[in-house]
Amino acid sequence: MRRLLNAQTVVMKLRQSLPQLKEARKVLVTAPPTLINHVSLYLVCAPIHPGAGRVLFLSVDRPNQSLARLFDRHCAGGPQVLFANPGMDPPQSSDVSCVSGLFAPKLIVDALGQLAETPEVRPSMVVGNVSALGFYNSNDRVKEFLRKIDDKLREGAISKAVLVSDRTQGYILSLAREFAEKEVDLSG
Amino acid sequence: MTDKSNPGASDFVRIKSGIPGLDQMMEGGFPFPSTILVAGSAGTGKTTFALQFLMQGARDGEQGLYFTTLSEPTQWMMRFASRLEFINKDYLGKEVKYVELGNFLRDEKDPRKVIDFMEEHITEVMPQRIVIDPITVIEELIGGNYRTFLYELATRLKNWQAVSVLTGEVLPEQPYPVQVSYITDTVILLSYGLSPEGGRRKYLEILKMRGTGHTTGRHLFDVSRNGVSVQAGLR
Repeated sequence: MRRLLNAQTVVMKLRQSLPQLKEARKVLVTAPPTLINHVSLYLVCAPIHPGAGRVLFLSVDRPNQSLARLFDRHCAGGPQVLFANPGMDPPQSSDVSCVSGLFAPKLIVDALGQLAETPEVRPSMVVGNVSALGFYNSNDRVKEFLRKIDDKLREGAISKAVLVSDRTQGYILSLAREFAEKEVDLSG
Repeated sequence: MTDKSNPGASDFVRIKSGIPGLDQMMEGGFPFPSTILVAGSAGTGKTTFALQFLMQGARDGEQGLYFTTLSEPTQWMMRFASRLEFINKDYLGKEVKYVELGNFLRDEKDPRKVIDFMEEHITEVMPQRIVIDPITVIEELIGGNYRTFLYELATRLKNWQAVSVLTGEVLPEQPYPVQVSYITDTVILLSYGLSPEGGRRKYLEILKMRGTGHTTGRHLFDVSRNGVSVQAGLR
């Protein structure tokens, strides 16, 4: 009998997967589209990030104002969160820096470029919902975006990358799978 | 799985409406996320539609949030709703949560504060399904600020990452609340018509549905203790 998927069951699965999530440098987490926000929020706040636990959260399809409310409500007592828009304030050395927008390839270059100026930061990165990149970016551009994340990992600008995706965009999902060392499937 | 042959194409995630006969009229369900206006005059089944929508979500493991804008206590409404066969009381207060917006609206006329109040609940509950029933009452309660309210609501609805059903009350001669229809992705009309025998029949029509091929025209539907069901293809 198929188990009912809801916020509680995916969080439980995430908790069970914490060792895997902690160990791998490049992780893909696939989740039902109705629960992507729950999963992304959990992963940003979870104790899976190396070093000082700093996180750069690239929110593809949810703006900062909406994210701020979620963090205020659900992560009280947790990480300090800072919101940045590319071209405005650069992400600071805070616990979580949030950058949002659909044109991710440009965002990632801007955000990581600014981070590179403060090399002691070395945050990990969470990107969600990766499949939403397909709304405004060609497949080639998404491929290029993932390659840039790989480059940043190699250079040491980021210490870990966690991609969160639903399964609606088959080609983007396949690219994300090629990228990841480990996949945690919460889709049921 | 790759779709290199048609790299620009993508499909919506769809969730079941909970209304028998309706999903096959719209490629399998409501796009997630999206906003839907269900408009009709009194007694056409708007609230029943909304409750079925939420109960379907509860069965599918989704969280629902119901904002009632009428100034009546929840237990009063549930007294009538509990007679409906599809209502599962185990979900009430858990998978389907209620918020009495009507009382708040009596005292608060600032549209941004009204939406902030709603958003507090949405942020806490993180629902996948939201109902505002009926949205048209808000115009009477906040008066000249209604347009600002709708504008603000339109922006925030897109960020809530849920399927939102707004019900709209209209007079029999009015088609639908035009101002609300501008901010929604889907408009469904519930109306009365006369049968050849002189009785009343109910009709459902999908007037607009962004990004979805849908069946057009008016289709018979029924409202009973089993809820709303559409007889798609019967006009």
